[in-house]
Amino acid sequence: MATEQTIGSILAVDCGAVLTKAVLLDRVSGSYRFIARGEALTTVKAPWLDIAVGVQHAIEQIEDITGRTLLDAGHHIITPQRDGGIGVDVFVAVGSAARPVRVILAGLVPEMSLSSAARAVAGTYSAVEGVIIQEPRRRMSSEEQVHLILHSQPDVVCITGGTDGGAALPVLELVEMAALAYSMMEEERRPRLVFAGNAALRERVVEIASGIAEIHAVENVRPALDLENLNGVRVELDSLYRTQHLGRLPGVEMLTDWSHMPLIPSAEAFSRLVQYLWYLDESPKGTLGIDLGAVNTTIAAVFGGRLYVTIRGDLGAVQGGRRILARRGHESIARWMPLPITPEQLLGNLLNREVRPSTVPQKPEELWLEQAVARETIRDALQTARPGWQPDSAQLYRQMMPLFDPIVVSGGVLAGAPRPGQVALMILDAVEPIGVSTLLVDANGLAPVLGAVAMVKPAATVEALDNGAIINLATAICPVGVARKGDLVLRVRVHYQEGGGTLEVEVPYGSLEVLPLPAGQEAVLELQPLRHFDVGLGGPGKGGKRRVHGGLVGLIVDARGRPLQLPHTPVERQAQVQQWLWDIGG
Amino acid sequence: MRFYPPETIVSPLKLIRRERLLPAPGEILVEEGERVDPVRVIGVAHVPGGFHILNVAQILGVSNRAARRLLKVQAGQDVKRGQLLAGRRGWGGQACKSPVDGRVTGSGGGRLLIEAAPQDIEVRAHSYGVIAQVYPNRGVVIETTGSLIQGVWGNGQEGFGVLRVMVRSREGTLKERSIDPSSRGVVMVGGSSLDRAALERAVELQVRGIIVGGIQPDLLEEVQKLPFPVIATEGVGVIPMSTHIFQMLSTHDGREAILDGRCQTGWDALRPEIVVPLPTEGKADMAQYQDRPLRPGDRVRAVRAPHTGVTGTVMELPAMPAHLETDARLPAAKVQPEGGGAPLLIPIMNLEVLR
Repeated sequence: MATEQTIGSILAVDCGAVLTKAVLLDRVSGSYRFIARGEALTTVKAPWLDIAVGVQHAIEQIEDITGRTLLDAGHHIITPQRDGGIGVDVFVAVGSAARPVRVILAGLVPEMSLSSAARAVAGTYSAVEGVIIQEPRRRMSSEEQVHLILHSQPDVVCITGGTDGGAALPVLELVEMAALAYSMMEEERRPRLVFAGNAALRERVVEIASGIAEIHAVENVRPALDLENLNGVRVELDSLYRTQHLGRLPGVEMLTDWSHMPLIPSAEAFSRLVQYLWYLDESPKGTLGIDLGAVNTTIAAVFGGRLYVTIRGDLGAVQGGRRILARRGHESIARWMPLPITPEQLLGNLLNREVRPSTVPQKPEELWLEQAVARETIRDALQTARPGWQPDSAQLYRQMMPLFDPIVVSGGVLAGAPRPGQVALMILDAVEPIGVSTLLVDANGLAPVLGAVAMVKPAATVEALDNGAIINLATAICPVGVARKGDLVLRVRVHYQEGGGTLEVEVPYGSLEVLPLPAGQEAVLELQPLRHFDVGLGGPGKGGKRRVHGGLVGLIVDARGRPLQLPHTPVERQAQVQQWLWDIGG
Repeated sequence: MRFYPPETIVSPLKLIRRERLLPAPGEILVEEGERVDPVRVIGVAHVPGGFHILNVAQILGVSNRAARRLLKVQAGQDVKRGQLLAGRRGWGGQACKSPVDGRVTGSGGGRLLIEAAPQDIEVRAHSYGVIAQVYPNRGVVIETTGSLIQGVWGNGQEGFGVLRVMVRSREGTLKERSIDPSSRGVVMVGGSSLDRAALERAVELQVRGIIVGGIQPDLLEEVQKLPFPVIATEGVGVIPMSTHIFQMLSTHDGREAILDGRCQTGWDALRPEIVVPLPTEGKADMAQYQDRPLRPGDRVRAVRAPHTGVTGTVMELPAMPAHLETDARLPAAKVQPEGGGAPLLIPIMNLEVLR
């Protein structure tokens, strides 16, 4: 393997649940650039049952595009690079193609230890299959508890409860009940027992369950009433996912052999990149990353350099639709459509998409439906993520999003939207950002792999980003305040650097405006809010100047209000959604 | 550029190996090399019965530790309903008795876990063929030859019966009026879908199964409750059955077919399938999956609107991407539909190879 100093070309792959993406980075004129990408089906399932086959298919596409030879006759990666551009110096792989860890949470009080445990689980590739509550008022019967463990077939039962030195008896009862359930299961099918409760009880827990369960005692998720420690549970579940799920994918040995390291979870690599983006200007605002995969959704938020990761292993652009439909109903998705759709049509479409997750919409109405599901999926994932954030000064208003700049989005439905305006509108509708935010789109699926590349060659990530690996979509200006529709709420002056012209616009409340600022151009934005509206420049009514870069869409002024209100009647709503699509070029 | 679309098996003659597993450990009643038919019981699963958790400490009014000392039974011991499990001596002494016949399988925290006797469930072969492998206590692998058609959606039921094609064309809808009493006990083959009245009539006549191109979304809930298998070969909606599949099922009109309507999406994806067992003398397609890129001459099926269900042959893989109605530009294949018509330019992502 090449040392960091000698690394030239880098081939990175991201093995998603549905598609595998391969990306080639190489030095051009002294700095790293994105060269080409390939994409193929992930081949974990029949008939292939070998994850490496999909990786080889994706690499073949890069060979076809570039004319370079990267694989040998036996379909193995050629490394290090040889003369004539044959092979690559380094191969790195990230993945999310393994099913999430199935967890049952058990604890005393839903609002205390159980909510902490749920937050801990949300930071890993895990899905909560059931919750056992021991609190007297909401207590499940012994039979119900055992039944849940027996029939959910979890990988882990995570028992929490009691501050350190606090409650003992009810916590031990949970352990005893789990032990009873385990005694009814075949030994090789017994889930791991993770104890993350009152640390003083560890010995008793071992006494009760040793010989019955594999016990892993980790730090208490709630060591004191006002203290939360999510690290122990997270490390435990993360390790289980890496070793028992990702690490056991069929054919994964070949990838680890090529890269000389285990497959890195995609969410970890993506989050690393989002954290890096925050460090670029160490803004008092937060940085937000959204990776909307077919099966998983990752939300990575950074405030003051601290990273908060939320992974929804049960919710993705493809697999999430029916879940949202079941929980929130047809209207939650239909409200984002410019055309009417019946509940039957919606269900049929979602089912067909689940059966064939790699397909793409050919008709506009199917595209809008996918984008509607994407909006709701992101909103749902953000709802899970937000309670765990500590945004400090970035949080201007309690009920609204903290200030974010930039917001970066990745994943097929977002990055693959045919028109940039559609991506921008999905972000604005789903995130409802406030103030001034730069919107970035990972059009080539580079974000997770760049995060992984940073582990072997940090300079490559830095230079690839500088060279436009992540594309500037737009700068969004989202004023916050109360007004009637049509009232002027913001004056915008755009002083263009190139050509020196100025554009002046008065923005009425309720509107969505796009001002020209093409990619590669810069401008100084002068904002003057009216009626005490707040654009995040020091408080209500306060304006100021900001240098901004152009993007695929330009400058967007989203004066539709926060929280975003949609018309009540379906006909009006559809007309409004269509108008917004037209306004933004979607 | 090389592309590897997903594949669907629609094979006129194939060697088929399928696992048949017990839902819980049990006994296997067949041997390797034995010939079986669909009704042959291949094994008996011992499915755990219900369980009872008795809080002995609470019943006896003693501490957990004391309860342990008062137990009259131990883990692994069989008990009868009413049998004394734990008790206190003397006047007013409490007694804890077993509520069921069963076995004590665990104890702890002052509690006893009693599992009721397991229920025996017979598992049938659900196929004609030969037992190729036995997994002791777990299941078998059955090998057979015949036509194999993978479907897209199924209602989770299994069954078998004689195929009867009920429509004239792959676009036809299975109607109530075409289902007469002679349809009792057959597997009906429709075209693009069936309506509610036809479904009700099929239930009334106790058909053995239904195969259609698509299931209308408003019928999904009812179809999922049916006791016989229903398989959609194309998806959810009104979708004409693929030409190739319709022709193959028409060829087998009057033959017995085995339907497996189990279907799952997501991590443990499972596709429904139809097998028409056929005798063979070494002609079955023994070939394993061949990993090769899409190329002109391959038979493909479109799997997304507006061409869902259209089968045809790849004529060309143009170097330039196709411009779709959505404004997207994607690699596409030029496909000549079976049965004629103008060639179609279909995104490669929306094609699957029929093998």
